[in-house]
Amino acid sequence: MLEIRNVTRRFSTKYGVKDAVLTIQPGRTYALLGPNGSGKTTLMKMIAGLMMPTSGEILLDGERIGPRTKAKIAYMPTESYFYSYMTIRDAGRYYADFFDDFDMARFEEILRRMELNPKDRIDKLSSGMNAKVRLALTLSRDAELMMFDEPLNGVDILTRTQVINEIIRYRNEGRSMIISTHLVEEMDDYIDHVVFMKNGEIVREGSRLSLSEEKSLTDTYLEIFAPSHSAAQEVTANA
Amino acid sequence: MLKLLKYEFRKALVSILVLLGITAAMEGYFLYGVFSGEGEPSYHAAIAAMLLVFMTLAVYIFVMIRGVTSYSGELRSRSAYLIFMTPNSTLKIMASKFLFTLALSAFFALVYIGLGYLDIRLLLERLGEYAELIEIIDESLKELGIHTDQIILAGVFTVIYAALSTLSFFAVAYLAVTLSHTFFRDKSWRWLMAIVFYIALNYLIGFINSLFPAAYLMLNYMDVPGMNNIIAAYNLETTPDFTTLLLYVVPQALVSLATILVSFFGCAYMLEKKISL
Repeated sequence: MLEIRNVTRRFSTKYGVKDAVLTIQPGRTYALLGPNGSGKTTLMKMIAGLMMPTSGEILLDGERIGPRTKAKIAYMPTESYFYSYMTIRDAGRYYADFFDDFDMARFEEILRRMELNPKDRIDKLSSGMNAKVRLALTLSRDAELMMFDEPLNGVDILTRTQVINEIIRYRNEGRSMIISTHLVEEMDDYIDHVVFMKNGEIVREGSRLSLSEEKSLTDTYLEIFAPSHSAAQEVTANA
Repeated sequence: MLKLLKYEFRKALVSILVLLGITAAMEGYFLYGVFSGEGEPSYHAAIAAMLLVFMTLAVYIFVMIRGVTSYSGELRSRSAYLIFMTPNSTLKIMASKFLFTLALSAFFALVYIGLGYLDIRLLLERLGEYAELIEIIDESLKELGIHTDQIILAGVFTVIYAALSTLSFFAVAYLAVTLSHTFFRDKSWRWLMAIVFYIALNYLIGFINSLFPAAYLMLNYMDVPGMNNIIAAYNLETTPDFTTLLLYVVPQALVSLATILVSFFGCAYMLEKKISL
């Protein structure tokens, strides 16, 4: 479905993403894990067509990323990206104008469940409410591939469950999801495949089941990103 | 494309309303000046007329600069995701930006031409000398041997030439912004590079223009009093017909047109191949 072939994105002095190779299968949920600055957002932006790779290529159903693939990919950026004049309803209309797969009835239903008022100006919302709007817009599309960049950022603990539940609700057999996060535990139960990124490189990937045979997701995460912390934990456990 | 234009309009709505509001206030002041005097317009009308003329130029420049700064701001901010995430080609996106700026400047041109026509007419009628003045102008032109069709043709041509020149001036600004954003995205001094690109591109266009006969030579051929001295000064033997005049201006108009097209396709290409938001 989605093929990432030796993709590199270089910024002036460093690599955002370095030689990434990954295949995203239909109907599966992928967790893109790594600390801030590990290249998760850069990779997602390249898949969404908001950034071009310096080298390599990304293909969706055999087609290079471009206007046609954008019609099949729903991307939830991690930051607010709305025009200052926009209300929640305006944002919905905007999506309805440009995306044929946008379902306005579903959007209104999600807004109701999340207790969002369509008349509210988006730039007046808290970061948690803003995240809910971005989530509602993304989930209201019938896209082949849905990507959520740090959907839990700025979201309080109570709302996190609500956000996760909404994402889970719209998983289906044909749709792939990529969720980037550094909050590993929250997503642990819902993912099929894990991709760890460090300094722009994919350092480990595999199915959730194969990884859990070895260690818990959090332990694997700590082992990759904080080896000293992980070693200390082991010593404590053995003692 | 219409949907993209719709959102360009929505983004510019507040500035459009502000400009129309200022224009309406000035027009109100003008009308006050026309009707407040005893029997004839007061000095307020003259002040308002001057302000309106100044406003015409200022609005035109503002519309163009607003287009470029809004584009530049958009590339720097997250709101660019809204457009570039949609299944629209960069050609369409750039076309909507160019067309909107063009349409907006045409709209304000119509507003000010319409207001100017009505205001002059109103002023002269209030003075009671409208018919008389038109007669005087007609007579003077005939005495000078200038025909109305000559004036219209020269006027139309001047407007097209001026519009192309001005548009090319701003199209290059779009290209300069795109280039600086593409190559110096992460640098805080990319705005400086936009200026450097802008100056360099204009220098290049100026050089290309210099390869063609200068547009101002057209003036040397105009059949108006005193022109004989200029013709002599430039050692021009005869006064050519209108077709010859066109030959002097057409190359430069074409350079302007080519500049607009190159800038437009250049921006779209850079965004497609090198986009980095």
